[in-house]
Amino acid sequence: MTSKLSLNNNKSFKYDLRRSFKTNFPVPVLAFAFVSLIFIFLNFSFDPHSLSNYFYDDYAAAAQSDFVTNCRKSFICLLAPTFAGSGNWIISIILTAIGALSAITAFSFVYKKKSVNVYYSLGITRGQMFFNRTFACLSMLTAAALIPLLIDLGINIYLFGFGSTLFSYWILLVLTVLTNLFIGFGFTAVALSICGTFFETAFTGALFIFTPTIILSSAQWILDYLLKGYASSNTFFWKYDIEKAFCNQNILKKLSFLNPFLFTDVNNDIYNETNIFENMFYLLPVNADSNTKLPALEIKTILPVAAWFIISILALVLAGKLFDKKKTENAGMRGLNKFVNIYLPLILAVEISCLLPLFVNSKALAVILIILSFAVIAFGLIAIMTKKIKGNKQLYKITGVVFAVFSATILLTGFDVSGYSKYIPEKEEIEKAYVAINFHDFTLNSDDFYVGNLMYHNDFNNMGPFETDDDLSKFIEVNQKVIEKNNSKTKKYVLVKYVLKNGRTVTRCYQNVSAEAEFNVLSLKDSDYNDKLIDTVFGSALTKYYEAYEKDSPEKTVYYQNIKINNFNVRIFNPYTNETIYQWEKMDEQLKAALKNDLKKLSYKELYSSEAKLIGGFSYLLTETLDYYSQGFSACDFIPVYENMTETVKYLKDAGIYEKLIKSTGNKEIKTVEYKSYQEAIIDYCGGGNSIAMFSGIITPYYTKGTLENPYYPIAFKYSLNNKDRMQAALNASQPYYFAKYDSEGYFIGVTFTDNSYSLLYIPEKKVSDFMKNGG
Amino acid sequence: MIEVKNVTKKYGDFTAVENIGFSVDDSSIYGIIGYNGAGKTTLLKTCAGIYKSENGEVLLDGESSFNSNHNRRNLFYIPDDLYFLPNAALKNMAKFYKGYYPSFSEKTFENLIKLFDLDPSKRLHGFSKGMQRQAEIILALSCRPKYMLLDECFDGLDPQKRNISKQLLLEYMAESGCSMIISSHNLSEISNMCDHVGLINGKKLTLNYCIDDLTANYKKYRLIFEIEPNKSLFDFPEIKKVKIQNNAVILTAMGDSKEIMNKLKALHPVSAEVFGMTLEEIFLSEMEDESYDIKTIFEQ
Repeated sequence: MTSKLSLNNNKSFKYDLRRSFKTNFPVPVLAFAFVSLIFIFLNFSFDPHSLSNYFYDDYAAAAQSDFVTNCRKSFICLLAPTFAGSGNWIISIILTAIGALSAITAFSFVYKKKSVNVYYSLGITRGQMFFNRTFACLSMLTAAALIPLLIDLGINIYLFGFGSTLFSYWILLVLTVLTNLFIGFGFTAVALSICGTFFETAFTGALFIFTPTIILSSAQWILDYLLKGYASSNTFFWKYDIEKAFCNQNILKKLSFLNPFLFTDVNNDIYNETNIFENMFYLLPVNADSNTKLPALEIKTILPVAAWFIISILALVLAGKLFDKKKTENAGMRGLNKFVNIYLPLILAVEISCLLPLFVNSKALAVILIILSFAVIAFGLIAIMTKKIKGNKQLYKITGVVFAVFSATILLTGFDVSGYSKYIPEKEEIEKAYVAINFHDFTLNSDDFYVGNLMYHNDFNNMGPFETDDDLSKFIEVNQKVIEKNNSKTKKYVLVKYVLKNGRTVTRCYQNVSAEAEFNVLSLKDSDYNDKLIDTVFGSALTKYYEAYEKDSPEKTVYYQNIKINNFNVRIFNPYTNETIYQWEKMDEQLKAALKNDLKKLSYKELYSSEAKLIGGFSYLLTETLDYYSQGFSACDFIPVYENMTETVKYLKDAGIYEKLIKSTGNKEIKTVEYKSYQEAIIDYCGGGNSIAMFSGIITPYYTKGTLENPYYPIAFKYSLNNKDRMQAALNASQPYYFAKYDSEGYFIGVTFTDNSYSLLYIPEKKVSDFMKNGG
Repeated sequence: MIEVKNVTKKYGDFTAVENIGFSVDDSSIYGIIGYNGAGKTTLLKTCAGIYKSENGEVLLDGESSFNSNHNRRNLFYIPDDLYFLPNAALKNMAKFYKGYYPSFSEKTFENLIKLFDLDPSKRLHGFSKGMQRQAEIILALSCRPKYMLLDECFDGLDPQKRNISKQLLLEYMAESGCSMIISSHNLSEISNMCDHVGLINGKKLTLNYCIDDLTANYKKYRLIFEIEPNKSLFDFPEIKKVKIQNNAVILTAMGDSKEIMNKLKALHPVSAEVFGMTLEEIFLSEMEDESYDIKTIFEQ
């Protein structure tokens, strides 16, 4: 009897298993189509030309080259170009969604009372029912992923030969794809084992999966918008150098291994903070340098994937246990699971309330809004979920505790109770320090035209490292002044970073810094650090361009100044008219020495806010690009010559250039002067927006198109001067247009000389005469 | 044999049935009666292993009915709300159940289809409610279960099909020794088919008797006295209900009618009569409560 019974049990179990396979195949078919598209077909479409080279006629020739030999040695592969780059999380999300969909369809009977009655009265246990559906779905999903990935592997072996590195990367890819699918299935299975309705399951499952993302991004938002002094990588994400050098790494990125969609983002020795599959992409034959090799997989690369795979299996085990205890009377009814009733509201409250600071400017208001919205959302959702306001004492008690902890965290963060923003390490602790400011605040410049700064490049500029005792003392003083003056209404930022002797780094971002404190940061020009930079720029020629490319700015910038000074044509010109006075094929050694000494002697005020007359400027002629690595670095294209730069002036006098320069800048007869308020011109030109692009937009056309023969003014001048004396007075007060300050007032003047040459100049507010203000 | 042992089932804080116990022998049909929402369906679903009871258990020949796979394989539950696979015809459902019920009989299935004259290839969702009921009965009997749980299974059947279904169930029980539990509001059906009956009232099983014993022992007594008697006179353990109207007293009592009559006659009534009661009368008597005066409902 027993044996007959066992046989019967076995038959039912097998039938249920067969049926599970038969009824659940559509989602794996979808998975097969998606994985095939991503890992086979898109591989061919992303650069068909490069692939056709290897597949067809050119392959034989290419195969003979060292390049392909090296590729083969490195086992450079095409495994997952579509899994590379910042968008890979979308693939992960889709794979996870497919896994979730598979679970939802396999167990769809649990949401309806009618079907529950039948399925749960059948003569198989819940455990068997869960196992059969899970086994059927996961094995079909595995096959659906494995088949295209095997084809992918086959293509790679065909192209580059088989090797252990290639194979290990393939195993990792398979594990990654399966983990995404299993996470989706596992967490949804947990959700469906405790929820009553389809929507509740889908929502809860998604929240389970997104919980790490929600928690990490909420923490990031809070730090970004509430913690005073926090150098957020979000704020400066558009500036890679700034982010890399100064900002705290995005928590979501830093803890990416905690995120089921980003766990493949792990640090790698070749490219920092990048995706393991991105490495593979960059190492493709079409992109890679032949010396680059795909590194063997490291344990830190494999660990997050393996850990998440184990987590997905544990989720399945948990789901099985919960499914065994599932309250079938809840089928088709929401809000009957206590855990879900509290989990959903709390997670949603965290997510939504932490988003609010994005929409308000005041920190105090943001703090109040976050706390209030958390309370409303959490308690309100509990009432909605449980369909009653009273009688949820336990739920409200737990929510109250979470609310108290959350509110305390927000208050402590928002009001900087820990003194985070005011902290400066002791000088003895500091190994080196860096600072960054927005250079547009001091001179107006375009992407191609920078004013006399050897240490800056780009529009947000960093300086450092400051390492000597004197430099660090000065640095701390400057930092203290910034802390004291960071409550103004400006939008000025100062970023500082300390690298401590114990290896720790301290980064701070001071917002709303006063103009005075920001300008004071430039006093760091008078430092050992700056002297060293000047020595490097004007020192003997550096040649290892590739090494420079590997360096971060400002070192990289300085390196390229040296390259340009030692290799490019140099000219001295009239800064008011852009007229070239003299040109050297390469900068003369004596001139280099004179400029070096003068630039060292000039104080920061003399360089950036000089009272002395500007008589000329040096710039390079970018006639050629040295190599790939020197592209895009054109900073310090203008070295000013002031009357008080004695050694340079002496050199120019000795060389007979000075006279020509003075004649050019001082003795031209003026025909007309037109002018317009600087801020008015900005408003006319781009609606008064305060963006960097605005300045580039005004200046670049002039710089690129504005020749003496064909002047280009984007500014429609409002007034004109006819009186000769007034015209001369205006000219005497003017500076080249690139000395216009970012957010100050002044006047643009367009000067036409009697020889019909033109110039766009700028008069700062303090030098503007009354007759101009009154429109005379 | 089905044994229901002290079963309590709760929905959250709400207790649906409490401490219910009875047993159903082989070749026996147990009828469950009770007003709407009394907990009949909850009890049947607990017996079927769909719900897990908070206390107590249901045993099928000694094995728990919840989450087991041995004896439960011989259990068939016909729910009040029928479920068929999407777009399924009767033959598809037969295939479905054949996979899960090793004792499924093709021959019985064919015979029953002929008897009910149903097209096995037509979509079941296109059937009328009564035809769907017939289909479910066909499927249930084709599975040849050892335990059957039927929740309002004759609802929607026409008198002829209802009669056929009853006869089929009785025949099947006699032939296979099947234990059945039927819940119904139709008391005449219960009294015709069942050998035992249980009444759920106030979440509890207030009656649990063999039907023959119940109808033999549950009687109504009418007594006339010279003066209006005091209610305390009728404080006998056998007496269930007492209704006094002037000199007349109407009693319902459970027990040996002769003994009860002797006790009543000792109170010296002018006259004393005894009447038999139908199951429906017994049900109403048991369920009688302080009901509304219907006449007052529509008063303006």
